[in-house]
Amino acid sequence: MSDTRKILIADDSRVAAHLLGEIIESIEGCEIVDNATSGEQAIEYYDKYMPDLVTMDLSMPGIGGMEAVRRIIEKHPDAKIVVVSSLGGAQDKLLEALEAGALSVVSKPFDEDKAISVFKKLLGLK
Amino acid sequence: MSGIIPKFFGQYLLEKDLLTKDQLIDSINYQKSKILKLGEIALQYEYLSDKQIAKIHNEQKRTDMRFGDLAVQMGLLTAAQLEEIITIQKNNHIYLGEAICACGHMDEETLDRELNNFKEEQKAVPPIEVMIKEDIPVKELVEISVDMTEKMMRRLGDMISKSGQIKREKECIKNLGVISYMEFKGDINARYVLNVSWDIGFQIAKRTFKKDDLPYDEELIKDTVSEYVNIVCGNIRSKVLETGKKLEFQPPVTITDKTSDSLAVNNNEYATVIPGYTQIGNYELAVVTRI
Repeated sequence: MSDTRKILIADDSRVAAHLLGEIIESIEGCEIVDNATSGEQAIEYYDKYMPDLVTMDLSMPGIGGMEAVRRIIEKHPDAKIVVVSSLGGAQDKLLEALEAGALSVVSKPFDEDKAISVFKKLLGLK
Repeated sequence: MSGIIPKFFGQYLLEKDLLTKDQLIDSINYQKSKILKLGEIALQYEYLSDKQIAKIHNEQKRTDMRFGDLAVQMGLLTAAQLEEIITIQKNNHIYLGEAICACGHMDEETLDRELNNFKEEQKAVPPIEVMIKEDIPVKELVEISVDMTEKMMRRLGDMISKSGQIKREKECIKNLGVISYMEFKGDINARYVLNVSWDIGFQIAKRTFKKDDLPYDEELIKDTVSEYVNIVCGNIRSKVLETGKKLEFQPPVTITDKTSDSLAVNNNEYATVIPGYTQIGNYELAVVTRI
């Protein structure tokens, strides 16, 4: 069995997905399986790949990221989802995302060290 | 170092692994439960009766107005009374740290130590350095917008940016290449507009992708400007929240000069335009609000 951790990026921005991809690929043992660009596609890709971690942008077309978090968690309660947010230090949105089932939040613009630390912790990597 | 992004104490504790997600949710909910409702305060100060509060709640079901604003509109509270009640509410809230301790998720010694560490880290978040003398609508939002846009031009675009003389645009904002805008709603209703040349957009894209030889791709430049505005507005929102005001925003809308040569300004709108100058070229930042 492979030790590679599968990561799904859910972000409709090519730029944001690229930046996140660079951070994730710098972590040894992580592989990006795909890039979903809507809330609906994030749910579909979760079922398809069963990733070890999902990074979820909140502002996405369709049902959006927050609803996608809720629906994925409803079906897969153990799903590991990190919300990626450009909302800065907004306590209300962070609380909503955590209550929806996300495990943590990474802010844009990305602080690489902090983001890596959050991803590694959730993936059980040292 | 996080640099620009202000964050709240709970996010800091979460990132540091000092609090679990469930403990944070528990503490925030406890903190919320301790906030006195405006109606409770009004009742305590005998500004409103039980019957009047029920009447306002009933009316709230038919409108999307907040309790205090509705009470004033219905003539049950004066604006001065509402302001007094809101001040009392603000002065009586408990801090998140107190809530965390009250819930038993951290002892006071650890809290004090981590609060100090958090404050040290947040010192890296620079204050707003822009002061505008002119009398313009939503001045505070304009100041924050100018400050954040300049800082992000430096950080994300590696460009030195300086702002020029403020002007009012009455008809339209002429597209310099790529215009991306976001609508703010809440305590402030306004539109943040960034209007950049293709050269500046390309520079931001090259720095974002860390590739000086990045192929020129207009779709990618458009996407980069859109993401840039998304990040700037997220930081503007954080700064506005620090002042106690609430602000929501919609995802950015981006248009290029290939499809639209300008962005219209309606008769009932006030567009404050601030030109920006960089070594790559010029851009315009605008804040449009209804008058």
